Amino acid sequence: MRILVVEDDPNLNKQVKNALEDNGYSVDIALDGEEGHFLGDTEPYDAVVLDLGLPKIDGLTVLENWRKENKKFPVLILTARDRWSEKVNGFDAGADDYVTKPFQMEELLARLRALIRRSAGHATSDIECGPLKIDTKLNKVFINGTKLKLTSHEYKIIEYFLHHQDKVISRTELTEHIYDQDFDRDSNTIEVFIGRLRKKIGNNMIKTERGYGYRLSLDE
Amino acid sequence: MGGGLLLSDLFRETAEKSFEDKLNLFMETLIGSSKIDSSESITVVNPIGDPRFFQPYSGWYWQINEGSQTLVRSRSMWDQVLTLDKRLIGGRAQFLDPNLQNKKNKKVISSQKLKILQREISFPGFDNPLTFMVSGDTDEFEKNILAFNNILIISLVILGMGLLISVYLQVKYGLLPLQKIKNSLFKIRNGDAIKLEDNYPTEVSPLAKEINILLEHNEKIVERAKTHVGNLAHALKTPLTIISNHVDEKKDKDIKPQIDLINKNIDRYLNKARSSTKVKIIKSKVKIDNHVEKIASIFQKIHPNKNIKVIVKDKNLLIPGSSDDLDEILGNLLENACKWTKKLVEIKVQRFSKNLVKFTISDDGPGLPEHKRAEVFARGFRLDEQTPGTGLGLNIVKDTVEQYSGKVWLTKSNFGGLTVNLLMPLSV
Repeated sequence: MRILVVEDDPNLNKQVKNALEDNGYSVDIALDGEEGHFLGDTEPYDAVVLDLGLPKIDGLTVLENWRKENKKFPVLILTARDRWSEKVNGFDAGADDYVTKPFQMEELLARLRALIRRSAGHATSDIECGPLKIDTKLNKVFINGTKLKLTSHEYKIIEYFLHHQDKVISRTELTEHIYDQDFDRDSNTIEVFIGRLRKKIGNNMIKTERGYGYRLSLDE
Repeated sequence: MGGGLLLSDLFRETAEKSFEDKLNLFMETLIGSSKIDSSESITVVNPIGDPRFFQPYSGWYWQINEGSQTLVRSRSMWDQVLTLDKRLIGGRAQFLDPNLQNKKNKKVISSQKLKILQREISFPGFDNPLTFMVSGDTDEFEKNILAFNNILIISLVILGMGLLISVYLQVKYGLLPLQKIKNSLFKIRNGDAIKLEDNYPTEVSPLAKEINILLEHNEKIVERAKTHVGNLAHALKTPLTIISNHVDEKKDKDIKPQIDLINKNIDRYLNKARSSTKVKIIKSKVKIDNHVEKIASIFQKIHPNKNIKVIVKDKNLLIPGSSDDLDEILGNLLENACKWTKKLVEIKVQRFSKNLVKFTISDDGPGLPEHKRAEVFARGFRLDEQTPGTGLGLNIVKDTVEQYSGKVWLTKSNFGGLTVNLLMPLSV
C-alpha cells in the first residue's frame, strides 16, 4: 500500500512516515500544498494523509482540486482546527476521515487502515480469500490459520492482492503501489516476489493473466 | 411672527405718511386760497373741494384763527371750533397727537380721533399771526391698517399651516429612506439579511454604502480573527503532536497528562473565544435540517458499518446563531454516540414548544449509570482512556449550548444505551 503524507512540519512528517513504514506501507512525503498536489496528481496512492494548514496551497484547496480532477484515493485529513465546522468543510471538499491534532500514532494508523479497507469495500480489519487471511491491524498473513513468514515486500504484495481480489493487476500497478517514489524500481523483481509468494501460499491462487498481469482469486 | 409685526409697522408708517401728505396738501390749498381783504378780515375764496369738508362732523375740518379767536372754519364743523394748541412753535406746520387733542375739543369733535395740522402765518394788517388748521379723521387709515392687519394675519396663519404641513410631509416622506435603513439594519442584526439593499435615493445612498462597507469590514475582522485563532491552534498543536509521540509513556509518566492538559485548555478557550463573539454581535439563523443531515452523512461515511438514522419531525426549523456552533454541538455529540454505539445511532429533531426545539441523540451502546451522567459534562472528564479523544467534547457542547440559553442532559435510551437530550431556543 502506498501512502502520501502531506504535512508541512518536517518533524511530524518524519514521525508519520516512520510510523507508516514500520507498519508495512510505502510512503512518499510532501512538505507543502503545491508538492502534495503534484504528487497526488501523478502517482497512484492508496491513501493520502493531508494536513489542512499547508504553505503555498492550503490543504482544503489541494483536496478540492484532486476531487475535481477525479482522484478517488481516500484522504485522511489532519486538522488542528478542532471545530466541527472545519471538519465539515473538509468533508465537503472530499475528505473521508479526520484525525485531530495532537494525535497518537496508533490512532492515525487505525484510522488509515480502516480507510483503506473501506475504500476497497471491506468492512472488517481481517480480509479473507479462501484459506488466505490477512490481519491488517497486526500486519500478519495466515493460511489455514497458520502464520506465514513474509518479507516486507512480499507482505505488501499479498496485502494489495487481498484488498483487490478478483481484479487483474498489472506489474506496473503493483510496482507503483508497493514502492515509494525514491525506490529504484525494477518490474522484474515483481516476478521474483510472485514466485516466492506462490511457493508459500500454493501455486493456484495467484493467476497469471498473460499480457495483462496477475489476479488473486479462488476459482480455477 | 416678527416678520408679520415688521410688515404691519411698515404699512402703518406708510399709511400715516400718506395721510399726513394729504393733510399737508389740504393745508397748502387752504393757505393758497385764503385772501385778505382790506377790512383786515380774511375770506377763503376757493375752499378745499373735497366734499368731506362740507359734510357735518365728517372729521375733516379746517379753521383759521387769530389767537384764540376763530375767523373762518369749514362747513363740516357746523357749530364746533377746534381749540388752539398752545404748544405751537414758530411758523412750521405741526401734526398734533390726536389723543391729546381729543380731551380739549368738545362734544362731537372730541369723540373723533383727529389728526390736526397747524401752521402759523403772519399777514400784514393782522396784529397776531394767523393759525391755519386742517384736520382729518384718523379712522380712515386706521381702518386700512386694520384691514391690512387682518389680511396679514390670515395669510401668515395660512403660510404657517402650509409650512407645518410641508415640514410634516418632509419629515414623513423625506426621512423615509432613513426609516428604511433602520429597518434593514434591524433585519441584519436579526440575521434576516447580510447587507443593505442598493435602491436608496441619492441623498442617503452614500450612507447606505458606508454602512455596507462597515458591515463588510466587521465581517472581515471576525473572519480574520477566526483565521488567526485557527492558525494559533495549528501552530500549537503540531508541536504538541510531535512531543506527545516522542514521549515514552512508561518512562515519563508525568508528561503525557500535562500535554493533554495543554491541549484541553487550548481547545476550551479557543472554543469560547470563537463562539462567544458571534452570537452577541449579529444574529444569524441556521436551518436545522440541513446541518443535521450533513453531519449525519459525514458520520455515516466514517462509520459505514453503523446505522445512523435521522428523524426530522418538524421541517424548516430555524435556530439563532452561527452554523459553526450547531455543527460543533452536533459533531461532538455524534462523535461520542458513534464511539460508544454497537450498531445504531438515532438523531431525532422535533419542536418541543413554541420557542424550543428538542434534539435527541440515542445509541445502543453500554449507556451510563445514573450517578455518572452529570459528571461527564465536567471539564476533561473521560470515561475511557483507551478510546481516542480528549474528553472535552461534552464540556464544549455544554458551554456552547449554554451560550444559547439552551439545555443539555442525559437519559437512558430506548435502545439500551445513552440518550443526549438537547433543548435549544428557536429563532423568532
